[in-house]
Amino acid sequence: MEKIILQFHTLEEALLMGDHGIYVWSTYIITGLVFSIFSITFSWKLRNLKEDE
Amino acid sequence: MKNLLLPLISVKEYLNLNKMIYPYVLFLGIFFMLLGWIVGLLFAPIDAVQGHSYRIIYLHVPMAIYSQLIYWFMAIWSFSFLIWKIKIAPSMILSAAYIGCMVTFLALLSGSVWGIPTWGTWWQWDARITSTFILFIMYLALLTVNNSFQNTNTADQITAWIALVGVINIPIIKKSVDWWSTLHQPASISLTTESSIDLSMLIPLLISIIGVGIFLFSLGLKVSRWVIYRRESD
Amino acid sequence: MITELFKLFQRTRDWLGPILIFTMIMIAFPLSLNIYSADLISSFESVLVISLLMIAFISCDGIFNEDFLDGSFEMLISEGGSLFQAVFEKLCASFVLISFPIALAGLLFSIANGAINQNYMIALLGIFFVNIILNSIFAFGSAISLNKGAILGVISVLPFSMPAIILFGRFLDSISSNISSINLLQLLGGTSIITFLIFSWLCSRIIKLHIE
Repeated sequence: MEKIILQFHTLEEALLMGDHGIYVWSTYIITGLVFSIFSITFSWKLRNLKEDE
Repeated sequence: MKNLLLPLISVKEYLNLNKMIYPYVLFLGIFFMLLGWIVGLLFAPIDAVQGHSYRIIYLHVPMAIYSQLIYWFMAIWSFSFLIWKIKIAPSMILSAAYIGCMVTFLALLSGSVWGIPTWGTWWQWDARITSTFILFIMYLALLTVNNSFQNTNTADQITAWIALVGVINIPIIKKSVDWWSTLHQPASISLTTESSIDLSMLIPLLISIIGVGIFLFSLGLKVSRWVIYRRESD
Repeated sequence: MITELFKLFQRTRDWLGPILIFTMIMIAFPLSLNIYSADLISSFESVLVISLLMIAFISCDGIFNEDFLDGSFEMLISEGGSLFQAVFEKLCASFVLISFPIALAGLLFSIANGAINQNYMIALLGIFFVNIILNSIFAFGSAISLNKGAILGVISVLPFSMPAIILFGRFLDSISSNISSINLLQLLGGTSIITFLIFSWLCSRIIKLHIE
C-alpha cells in the first residue's frame, strides 16, 4: 500500500493537477451545485406545501 | 419487531421517524462524503497511467453504483406495493425516482468529463455508457408516467408495474449491450474478486461510496416527506 | 381469435396503414442516398430496424382504445371472462394481419437492396419474430397510455425494446455476411414467445387497472 499523504505543495499545483485540474475540479463543482440545487428545490417545495396548509 | 416495522406500514410513524433522524443523517452524509472526496482529491497517490484525472473516480463510481442500486430499491418497493399494498411504498418509489434520475445524470456527466482526458472523447457508444443512458431514460419515463395520471391509485400501480418490469430489463440490457460493444474498463472494485486498485486509493473510494450513500439517503428522507405531504394535500 | 381477426380486417386503416408506411420508408430511403453507393447496403440494416420499431409503435397505437371506450373490456370483466385471453387474441390478430406482411415486405426489400443473398426463410422468420417482440412491448405501452396519447406509452416502454434491437442487429449482421444464424433465430423465437406471453399478461393487468 502506498502512503496517503498530501500530494500537492502549493495551491496552484492542487488547482492545476498537471493538466487535468479543469476536468477534475469542474466535475466536483458541478456535482456540488446539482446536489445543492436539488436539495434547495425540495426544501422550498416542502415549505410551500406547509404554508398552503 | 413490531415497533421496528411500524414506520413501514404507518405513514404517520414514518414521518415522525423521518423528521427525527433527518438532521443526523444529513450531517453524517456530508461529513463522510467530504472526507472521502478531500482525501481522494488531495491525499491519494497519483495514478501511474491516468495521472490526476483518475480522481474523478471518487465521484463517478459512487454515482454509478447508486444509479443502479436506487432502481433496485424502487423495484423492491414496487413489489411490496403490488403484493402487500404497503401504504408508503408509492411515495418511496416516487422519491427514489427523483434521486435516481439526478444520480444517473451525474454518473453520465462525470463519466463524460473523465472520458475527455483518458479516452480523448466525451461520448462513446460503449456498453456501460449506453446502458446507463437507457437507465436515465427509464427514470425519466417513470416520472413522466407518474405525473400524467390524475387518479393517484392508477398512477401508483402503473408506476410500480413499470419499475418492476424495468428491473428485469436492467440485467438484460446490460448483457445485451456488453455483447454489442465495450470500451469501458472493467470494474475497479468487486465484491467477489480482488480489487485491481491499490489500497491507498481504495480507502477514500470506499469512504466516498459510504458518504454519498448516506447523503443520498438524507435527500431521500427529505424528498419522501415532500411527496407524502403533497399526496395528503391532494 | 377468428372474430378478432375479422374485426381487425374490417378496420382497413389499422392494418393496411402500417404496411403502407413501412413500404413508403423502404422506398424513400434509397432516394436519399446515391443509388450506386455502397452505403445502400450498409445503411439498409439500420433503416430496417428503425422502421420496424416505428411500425410497431404505429400499429400498436390505440390497439385497445376502441374496446376500452365502447365498454367491451368492462363487460368482459363483469361477465367473468378472461381479459388475458382477449388481449392475447387481439395481439395474435395483429401478428397475422400486420407483422407477417411486414416481415414479407422486409424480406423482399432486403433482397432488393442486396442485404440478403440466401437463407431467405431464416430472414423472414427473424423479421417476423422481432416484430412480435416489438409489437408486444408497444402494446404494453399502449395499455399504459389508454386515453393519454401515444407518446406516454412509447417513452415508458422504449427502453424495453433496446435488447431486442441489439439482438436483431446481430441477427441481420450474421445473415448478411452468410454466417450461420440459426442459433440467433432460435434465440429470437424463444424471446418472442416469452415476451408475447408476459406482455399480454401485463397488458391485461394494466387495462383492468384502468377500468377499476
